[in-house]
Amino acid sequence: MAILMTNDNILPEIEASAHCDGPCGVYDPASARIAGEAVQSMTKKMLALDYPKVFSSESMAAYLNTMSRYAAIKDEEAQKCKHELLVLWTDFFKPQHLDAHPELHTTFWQAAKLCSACKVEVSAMHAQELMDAIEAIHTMFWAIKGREVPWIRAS
Amino acid sequence: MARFIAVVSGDSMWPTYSEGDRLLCAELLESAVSVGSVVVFKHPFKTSLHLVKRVTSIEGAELFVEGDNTDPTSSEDSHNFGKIPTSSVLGIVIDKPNDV
Repeated sequence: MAILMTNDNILPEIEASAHCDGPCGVYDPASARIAGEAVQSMTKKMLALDYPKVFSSESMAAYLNTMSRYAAIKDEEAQKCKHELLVLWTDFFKPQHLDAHPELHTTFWQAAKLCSACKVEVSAMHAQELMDAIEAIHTMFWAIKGREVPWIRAS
Repeated sequence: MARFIAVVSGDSMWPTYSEGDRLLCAELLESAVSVGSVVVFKHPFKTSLHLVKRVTSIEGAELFVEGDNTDPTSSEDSHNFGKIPTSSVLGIVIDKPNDV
């Protein structure tokens, strides 16, 4: 960058970067939100799935296959959600953000635990609490970025 | 002696300096670099980029520079790109006046 001389009576001015090495500009809690929505969706599907009306090898195989696929997706997306949250927590958020958001660590800790809970349970309550925690993180994140980004769900 | 203003972009020098702070700097001829000095220098691999960091050790004509932010992910500094030559230093921060 060239040194800018704007006026003979004004000192030349340059920009001095004090950024991190990582891609500061590409973090977005949307990744965690999408995974969290998938967890909630699979949880609802599991709770809504009825037993086969007629028990047979074929109907039980279809039922178990469907239920196990829901469970597998729920487990995978909950783990993905936890990963996305941990990346935001440890890489994007910095000590200076705690002044404005003293609840930051507690919110992330609780959100990560809810991911674990949603893996081992079929709990609509914990799935909703996870989404609430992700929304709180979304709000903190965009406040720090200085932008108004509404909380929008895909489903 | 030549002086210039460095406008801080980023948080790696927090809490000492924050985004938008205007730092009064002096060229090396005026002030010798010592451990603890905050310097503005050319990035060793991106020469069009100027960085501001604190000198934490000196070995001959090479400086080890670090950000002040305690978060190890906050700063791209000598932990990433190694020591920098003294010749790459544009100036030393000598003040953070409010009116420059």
